[in-house]
Amino acid sequence: MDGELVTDPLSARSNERGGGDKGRQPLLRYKKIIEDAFPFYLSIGMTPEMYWDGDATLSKFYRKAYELKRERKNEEMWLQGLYIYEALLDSAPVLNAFCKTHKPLPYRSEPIPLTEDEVIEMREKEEERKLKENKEKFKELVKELNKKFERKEDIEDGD
Amino acid sequence: MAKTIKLVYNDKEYTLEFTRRTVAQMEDEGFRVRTIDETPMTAIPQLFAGAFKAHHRFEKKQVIDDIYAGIPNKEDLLGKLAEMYNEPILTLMEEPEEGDAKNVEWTASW
Repeated sequence: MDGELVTDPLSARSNERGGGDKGRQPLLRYKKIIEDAFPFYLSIGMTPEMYWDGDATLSKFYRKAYELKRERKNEEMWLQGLYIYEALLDSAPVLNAFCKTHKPLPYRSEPIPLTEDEVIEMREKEEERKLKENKEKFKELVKELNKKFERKEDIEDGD
Repeated sequence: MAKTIKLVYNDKEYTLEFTRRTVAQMEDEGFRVRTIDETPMTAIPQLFAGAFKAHHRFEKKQVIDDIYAGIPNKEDLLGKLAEMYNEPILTLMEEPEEGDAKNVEWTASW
């Protein structure tokens, strides 16, 4: 106490008395928060100029865009898994020793439709294909019938 | 868009805004947001001057002091400046506004 000067740092004096800075809350430094978050925003595509000098609200939208990108990537990976799963099932007959044919099913001819428009388009194509197929079958049937009639007429004429 | 204050002084238009760089610069110069309560007479003009750094960094201190002296409703201005100062930090944490409304839950006590 005798040698204490008023110019001594406040914390040093209070520490000697056993008080110290324990009860004091540390000063919240915005700079530290900003610097800590900086690498993350760099990693999601923000430039240093945008982060430090640009519109502060941009960071919110970069974060939202990052979430959307992650969601999209997750969906893509899920879809890829679906293709692989389907391909494995299609090729299963080759791998199955007890299968009679041992012939793999053909891999899907078109990608899995994702949007509603694609689903509708695919359905229309399928219907068109079936209609065409039925038409061909009907034509064949008519041809067969005509041939039968012609043969019958020839026999009758021969009589 | 970031929060800004626009003002005209001597036919010159000023845009006051805080960026992350200017917030960090102000802290380097010794400004602490909590000192507004403790020493408002020095901290508020300091905060006001700091808002010029983003777009008018070479403006003379005397001009900024004159502008501050002539500003009416200083209490309202302080609120707006504080909101602006916090924005570069808050935008690192909060979600875009469109998502906020969906999470609102409230109950009445009667």
